[in-house]
Amino acid sequence: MIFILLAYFLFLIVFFAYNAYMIFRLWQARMKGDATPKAFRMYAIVIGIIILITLLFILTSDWSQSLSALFGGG
Amino acid sequence: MAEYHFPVPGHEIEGEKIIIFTHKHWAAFLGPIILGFFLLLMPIIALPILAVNSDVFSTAWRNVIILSTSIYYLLIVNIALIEWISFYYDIVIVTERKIIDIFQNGIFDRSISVLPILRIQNTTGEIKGFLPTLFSYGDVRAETAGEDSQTISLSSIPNPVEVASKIMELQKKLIAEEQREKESLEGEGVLKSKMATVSQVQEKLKPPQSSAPAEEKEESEEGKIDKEQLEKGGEIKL
Repeated sequence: MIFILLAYFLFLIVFFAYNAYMIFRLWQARMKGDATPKAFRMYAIVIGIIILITLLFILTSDWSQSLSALFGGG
Repeated sequence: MAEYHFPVPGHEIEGEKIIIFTHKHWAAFLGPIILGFFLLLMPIIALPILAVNSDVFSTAWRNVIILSTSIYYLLIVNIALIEWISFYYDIVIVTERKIIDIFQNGIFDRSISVLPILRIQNTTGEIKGFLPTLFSYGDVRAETAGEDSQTISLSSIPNPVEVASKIMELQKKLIAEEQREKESLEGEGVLKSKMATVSQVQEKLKPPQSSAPAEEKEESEEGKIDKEQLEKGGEIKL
């Protein structure tokens, strides 16, 4: 089960890298006085909340089981 | 790279005043908002039903479901931001002389069309449908004259009829200005060209002047100065 956790963290790394590039690109293309900074702030807050809740679940879960437990094994 | 590619509305683009600066109407984004809302609600509704009807949450699948739900929400929020960017960065700018239509499709697809107002032959403002009529937004189509006729289409903008008539008003104003300029230039041009003709004739009638008139006098007086030396110019040693 630890492999699934590692895969999730790998996804998070790729997701953050992609978001950083996306925000950089969009920051260059925005206009003065538009709603883009507000939108990015809200987006960062929502992403933060989702990751925080996920981390809480991760910390309270048991990850010592093996992958075969998913398919009815030991 | 400049942080802001366009100035604040009310200022100028390349010396032209901005007359209209508008994003798409927010009501055009209602569909994606409602869809996004349902997609966010889906796990919140589905997971409790799943928990009640099966014992999947007491097995190893619980961890997988938690991580999958997290990835699902992260992707949905990211797609929602991209959709909003695609909506919000669609901008129509009408200056004194041109129409600039910026179309954003996702993050990596952006096209900017510029159409000079003088080339526009006619404009149409259209409001079709229940929501557009309720919130007064729609499409503006501007067609250019000539063999290579172009049509620029500005979709889902507020008050399209007013925008279309404003564009025609600007076009008429530009045509009147161009006409006045042309007339004044023609007036000046006629006078200038006559004077040029007279001066050209006078130039032709004048005898050719050498570069060293003093040397010419001496030549006529003494006849000893070489023609090659005269052509070279400079001081002639006697």
